[in-house]
Amino acid sequence: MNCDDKDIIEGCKHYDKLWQKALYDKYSAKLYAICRRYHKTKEDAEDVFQDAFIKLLSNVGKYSGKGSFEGWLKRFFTNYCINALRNKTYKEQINDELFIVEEDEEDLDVERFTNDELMASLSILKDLERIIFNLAEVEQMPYKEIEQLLKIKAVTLRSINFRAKKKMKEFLLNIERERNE
Amino acid sequence: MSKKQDMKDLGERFKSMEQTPSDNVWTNIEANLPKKSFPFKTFALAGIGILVVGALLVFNAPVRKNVESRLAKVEGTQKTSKEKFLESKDRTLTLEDNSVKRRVENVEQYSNSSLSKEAETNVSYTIEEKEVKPVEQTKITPVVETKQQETKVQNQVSANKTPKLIVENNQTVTHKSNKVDNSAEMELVNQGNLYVPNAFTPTESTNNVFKPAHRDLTNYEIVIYARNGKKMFSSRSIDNGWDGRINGNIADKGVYVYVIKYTDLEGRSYTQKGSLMLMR
Repeated sequence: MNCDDKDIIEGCKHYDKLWQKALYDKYSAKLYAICRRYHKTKEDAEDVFQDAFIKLLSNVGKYSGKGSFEGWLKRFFTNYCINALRNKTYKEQINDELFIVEEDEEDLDVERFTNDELMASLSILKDLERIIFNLAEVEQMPYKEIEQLLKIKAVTLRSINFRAKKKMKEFLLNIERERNE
Repeated sequence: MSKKQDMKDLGERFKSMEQTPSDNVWTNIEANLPKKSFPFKTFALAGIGILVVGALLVFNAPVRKNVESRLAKVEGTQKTSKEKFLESKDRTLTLEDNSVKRRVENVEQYSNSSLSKEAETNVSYTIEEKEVKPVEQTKITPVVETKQQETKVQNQVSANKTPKLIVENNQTVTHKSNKVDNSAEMELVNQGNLYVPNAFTPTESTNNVFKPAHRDLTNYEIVIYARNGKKMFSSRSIDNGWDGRINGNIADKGVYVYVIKYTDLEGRSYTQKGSLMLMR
């Protein structure tokens, strides 16, 4: 049964269990994907998703009605993931290999890959690489903002992002090569 | 395709991706669901309401006499302790051309007058100003209404075991259309669409109360019957469900029937009937 957001919101404001489940049924796939992107393992992603969802259920009242409910939910989860990861230190992940690498010419047609393959390409990254890739490429956050959020210089951010993208691309192209053999 | 485009597409793929969590995720969440907390706000509001009423009573002596004489006629059969309770809570005065409307509010009835159930019947009289709804009434008629907020307060406050007063309300519950129309009141019989569970387990620690999923409504009534027609439960509050008990004991397992009548926020009335399984 596809429920109206209006009913779900009202029901969750009243802590009605049926409506809480309805919210889960309608949106868990989209919101869990956010947690999967930010975390290396499925287990970590599930733990964070559970915590974030429980927190969400206490805060549905905070949705002001401006903008879509789905958009608000996604922002809620993204902020939760970022906050959860932000406080860790990543100093040891910054110092190595900070130089520009040669770009290879091979094109990457994203459509050739499945969701699972794309998720796998994220999981090979180091934590910091993964966060920066998510913020810069998926959330489209400007580097200035990421700098303030993670307290890392924009120059460093750019090179880490570049390295992340290169690794992912290599990984995906390898998969394709193996597929074609 | 250019490199930039590749990565933009990659970003977009991730942005729109969906992933299904494993089944135990919901189980874990379910075990930690936040629930409704004690309604401090409602009590605070009720307290403020009482203060406002008190202030108005003190400062509006002439109008008060008029009002009290009208009330005296109606309150004849009530018990004194109840009278006191009602007077202090629900009367708000209006100053509109001395026209006074009476409303009967929050009549909650239960099928048996045993003391095992915690709720009691409250009949309260409120004199109110013509307010929120654009209903034009040229005659003074008692209209049965349920106000969500006040229902909650009375439910909470009446948790003690005072003797029950059951008032057989002989008025028919009718729905007044909100359009300006002084013609006959129509009862609309539309099929309701509340989200109602079809079973519950009163002996377990979860799913042990039968009630529809919450919706904001202006009017609500549910009655539950056994297959032999015996009335098991009734309520005027959507959040107040059946715990499966009759006379203090959990009823037999089996099929029961519910009849729900309600009016939504747009003023439309609905009836919804169905069956439910009581499982033990």
